Amino acid sequence: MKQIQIKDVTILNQLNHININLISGEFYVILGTPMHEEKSVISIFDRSISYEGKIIINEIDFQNYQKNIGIIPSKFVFTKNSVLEYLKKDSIAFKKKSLLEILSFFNLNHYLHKNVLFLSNSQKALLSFIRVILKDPDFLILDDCFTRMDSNDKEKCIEFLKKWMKTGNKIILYYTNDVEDILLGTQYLLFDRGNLLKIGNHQTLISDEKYFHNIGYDLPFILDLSHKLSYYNLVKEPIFNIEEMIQILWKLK
Amino acid sequence: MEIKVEHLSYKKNQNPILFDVNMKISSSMITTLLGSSGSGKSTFLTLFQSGCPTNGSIYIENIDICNKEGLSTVKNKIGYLPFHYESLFVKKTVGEQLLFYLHMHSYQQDMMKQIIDTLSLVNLNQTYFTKKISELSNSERKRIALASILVYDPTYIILDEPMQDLHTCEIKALEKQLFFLKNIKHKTILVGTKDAELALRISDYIYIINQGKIIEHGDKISVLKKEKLLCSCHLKTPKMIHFSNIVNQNVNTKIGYHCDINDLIKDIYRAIPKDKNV
Repeated sequence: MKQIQIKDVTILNQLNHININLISGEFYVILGTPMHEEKSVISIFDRSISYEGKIIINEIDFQNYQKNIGIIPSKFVFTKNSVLEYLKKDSIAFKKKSLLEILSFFNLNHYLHKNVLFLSNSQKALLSFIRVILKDPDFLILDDCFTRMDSNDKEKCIEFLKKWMKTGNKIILYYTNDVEDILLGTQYLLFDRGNLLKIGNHQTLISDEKYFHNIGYDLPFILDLSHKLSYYNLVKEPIFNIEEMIQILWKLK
Repeated sequence: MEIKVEHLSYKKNQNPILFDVNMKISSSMITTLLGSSGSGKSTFLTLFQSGCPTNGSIYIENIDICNKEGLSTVKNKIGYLPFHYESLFVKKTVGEQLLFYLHMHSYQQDMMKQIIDTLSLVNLNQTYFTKKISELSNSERKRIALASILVYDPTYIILDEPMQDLHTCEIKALEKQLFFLKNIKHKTILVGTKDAELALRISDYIYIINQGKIIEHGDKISVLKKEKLLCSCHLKTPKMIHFSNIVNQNVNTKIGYHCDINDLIKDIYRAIPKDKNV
């Protein structure tokens, strides 16, 4: 998948004439405004909402690419199945070997025959993530899917996604309410009451601070700290890492 | 009026989930039960509604709620927001829903005024009265669930992951309302969460639960700066606390632990030798 063109897409009361080009190899993070369902852009891809405009993948209407699109939902419903049965359900190219490898990566390999209803909420969220990943889609949509996970499970998913992105021609679109997660992506999309307000990357975070404030967010902690310390002449440029900041502040290098 | 939990244990289908839990939840304070997914915190919080542990007691105003009679005596004073908050929805519209909870808890005063005040407490206006719950967004539904337990003005508010599904602005607003409920209305609030950042912002006191056992408790800073302990419980140390920990481990000068970034900056400024500034 090379690119996804979202052309003049409007959803009544939710999105207004949105134009975005999503490019292969990029990890996009969407932040929106409260009370506005900007994540409805995600609902377009699972065909659960009607819209005006066009979505084109590699010059072809996106509906022909449905099999290459994976959506990990924020909420999930489980029935009384074993982990294995749950994961097999709609995995087209199901291979037990790759399943075991992935389960082992997420420390779930001992749960294969366990009833999913007896798993913790974090493990259920993890299973929901794994089920989509097993299909190896080219376009992966994360619908605030980490909120129910423990921090260690979320970190495992991020580690997995970073490796997975390198397998080529992948695009990730991640809708979140956690501003810290902006740093997970390579690009961010800020929405304000249904309008696309700003597209940026790590380098533009500080200059876009006012846009973040407009939609109710502070900057991620380390950048906020870095930015505020620059007023006191304690740092010169944005720092993205706590350890690095401490080394610079106390000249430990 | 405080809540006391004594030697509480709970088994589900013969599987032990809670082991000898002891807690003292002070009145007019926000106490946080911090634990990862599957640690037993939701099971524990559910007992404030069902009152059926395998062993032990929960005392509210010195009444043991772990028996039917005790629970029915204080039932109207307890507001419990479950993790699966949608289970609270029993009516079609917001107005019907809130009226239902007022009637269920035998609320005696002006019901319409109470509904409007409660909607305002969760940052919704009175136009929501006629709206259908099924047509609201996730965050609006969450706030209606919260309104359902606040509307009958309970003294003891038990909240399981209250901020999940909310936008940052809504989280900030709800945090303010929790402080209002604590400081002005003198409510006793118990919050269950896996979010240590939230625990840092709102708590007066923290209990950490892991594998069904209370393994640590104390004021929020003394608990949250124990990074290894949090990590062993699959909890993430709040960033500001982590920053102070790293400084204190690697630099000769010590800095304090803060909940506000501006206080942290003042402390950093004080702690850096001025000739070393950029």
